[in-house]
Amino acid sequence: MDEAPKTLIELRQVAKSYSGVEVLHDVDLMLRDGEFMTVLGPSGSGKTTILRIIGGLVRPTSGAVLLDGTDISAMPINRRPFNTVFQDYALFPHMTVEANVGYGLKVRGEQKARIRERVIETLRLVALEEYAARYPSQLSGGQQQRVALARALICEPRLILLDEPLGALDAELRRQMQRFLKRLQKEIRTTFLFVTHDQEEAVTIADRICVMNNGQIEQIGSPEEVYYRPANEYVARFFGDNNLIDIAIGSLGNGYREVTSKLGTFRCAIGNRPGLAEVTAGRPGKLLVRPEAIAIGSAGDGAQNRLRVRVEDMSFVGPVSQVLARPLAEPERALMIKLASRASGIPLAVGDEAEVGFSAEECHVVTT
Amino acid sequence: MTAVRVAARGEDERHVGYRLVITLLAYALPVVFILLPLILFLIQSFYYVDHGDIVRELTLRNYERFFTGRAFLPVFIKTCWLCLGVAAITVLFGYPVAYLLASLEGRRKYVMMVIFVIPLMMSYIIKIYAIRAILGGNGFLNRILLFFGIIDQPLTFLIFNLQAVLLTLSVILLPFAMLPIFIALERIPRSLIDASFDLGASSFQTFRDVIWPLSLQGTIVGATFTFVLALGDFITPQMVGGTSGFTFGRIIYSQFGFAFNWPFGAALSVILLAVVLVAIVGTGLLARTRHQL
Repeated sequence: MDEAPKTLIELRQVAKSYSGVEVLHDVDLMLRDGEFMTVLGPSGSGKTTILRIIGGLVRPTSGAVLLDGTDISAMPINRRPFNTVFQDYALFPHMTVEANVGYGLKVRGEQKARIRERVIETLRLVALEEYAARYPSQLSGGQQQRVALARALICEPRLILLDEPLGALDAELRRQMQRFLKRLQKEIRTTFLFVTHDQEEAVTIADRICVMNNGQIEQIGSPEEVYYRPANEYVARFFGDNNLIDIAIGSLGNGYREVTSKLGTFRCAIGNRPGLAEVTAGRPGKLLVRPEAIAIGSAGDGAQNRLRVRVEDMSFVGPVSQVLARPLAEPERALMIKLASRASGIPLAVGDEAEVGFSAEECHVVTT
Repeated sequence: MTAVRVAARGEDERHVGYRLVITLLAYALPVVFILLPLILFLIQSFYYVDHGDIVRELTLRNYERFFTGRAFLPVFIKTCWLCLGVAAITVLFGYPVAYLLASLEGRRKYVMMVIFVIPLMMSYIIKIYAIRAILGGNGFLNRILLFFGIIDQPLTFLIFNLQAVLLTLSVILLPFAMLPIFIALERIPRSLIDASFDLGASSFQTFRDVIWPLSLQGTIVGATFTFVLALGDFITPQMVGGTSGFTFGRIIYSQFGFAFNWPFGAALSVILLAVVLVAIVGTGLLARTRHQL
């Protein structure tokens, strides 16, 4: 763990156009050996194209794909040491589970006995060893999913590409598979590149997230980074119900930067965003405050940033209660506040006026 | 409100009547036009002819004649072999063409398919004449060969024999083999082929292990089509078969057209039908697999 992680895959200025329409614009991406990266973005953001370019199913219009520093752009798909778990699983319907899983070894000319041994081993890994003789159509969606995974794993690839593999599963099974994939990935220490449009899934499962939009990478970072310190407004909006407040950058204080808005003047800790100290004053931007970072009433007493609000709506959503409040200074702007739910309830009522606060450390600024 | 409801109910009742008529037709039409004639045919095959008159007494003598007669069984077996040959040739040539079509992209695929299917819209008789014009003694092929001095006199083995029947039937029936194969190839999801390559397979391995098994069903259907169609054909052998290209279809035809022995012709037809049914059911069982696409 001491040495810096090796780069497995590198994309250099990779672009892809389909009949003149560019779906991927000069993307640079480094994939570390052994990491679990999710590529997150809405449909049409180019995330699947990246996956297919790395896998070799799609040839980039320009740019290079490097494996261990060597250009593999021209390497045909069947020579690349990567395997894909397809969105529709793409199991061979005319082969048993055993034949499906063993396919990758069979085409490499492995001995039958050896293939059988490895198939059983791999099926055990995905807890399907009893299903070897079944056909894919006799399996449930979740089981088919694991067969597809086993079929990719058995080839011992350097990288496993997963194209929205959990999209067709129901919520509970999805969560189970997420945990399973994460555990498995740590166990076999193979690099995973996982494409999804589900931000919760991306955050749950990944070591690093690559957020994509319109064929470009918006941000690459750990789940905490993209969640708490989004690089721009797009990423900030993509991750849930952030409060985004229009601001102008103000004066520099000791360890904080002042920002002004219609709601008042707030302080934002510089530690959260390197470079915030250097931004020229007067520049417009957005102040980002997560709903769970806002405290109500006396709980927010110590916070540097305070404002008075009127409670407009409250709703109980299980572990948290959501409070919708409007600042007295700017009733047009609604603030979302999330409080931990308590059996005793929230000591607030709709229509109440209250004082809320959030600390400078919980603030994040993106410039626009 | 009430008026509306009454009107709606009236409409409902009319719909019920309408549906009843449609349902009746759906069952009645095949019964009247397909099943009934077949049954009449079957009954006819047990009658016999005496001095030019059909005697309506049930007898097995027609079937007996088929099995004991000198000419019938050998011609029948020869015809079956011929039609198996047609099935084999049409699949052999139809498969690569279908494969090529299926691998084309976008509009080109369908334009090409129409080009290959256009011969189906041409009159069958015209196609036979065209082939005769090519293969005949004074035909296109012979003239070219003569012109270039490759031969001194016209080749006569090109036409009016069994090989000519085989060739002509194969040419005419080729689209019937090609289409089911094309459809089967089209139905293979692209991702299966991608997956095969992704797992390291070569093009040949992908074809052998994925594409071929998944298109086998369509190939069997195509072969059955051409086999069955060739088996029932009597015009092609008549026109390009000459005396040596005598097939079972021609024998049946002659029972109706020349010998005026309808019951015997009916019996021979029933035998042919039985073989066709066996072929269809047999290949259907063969093509049935445990998977579903």
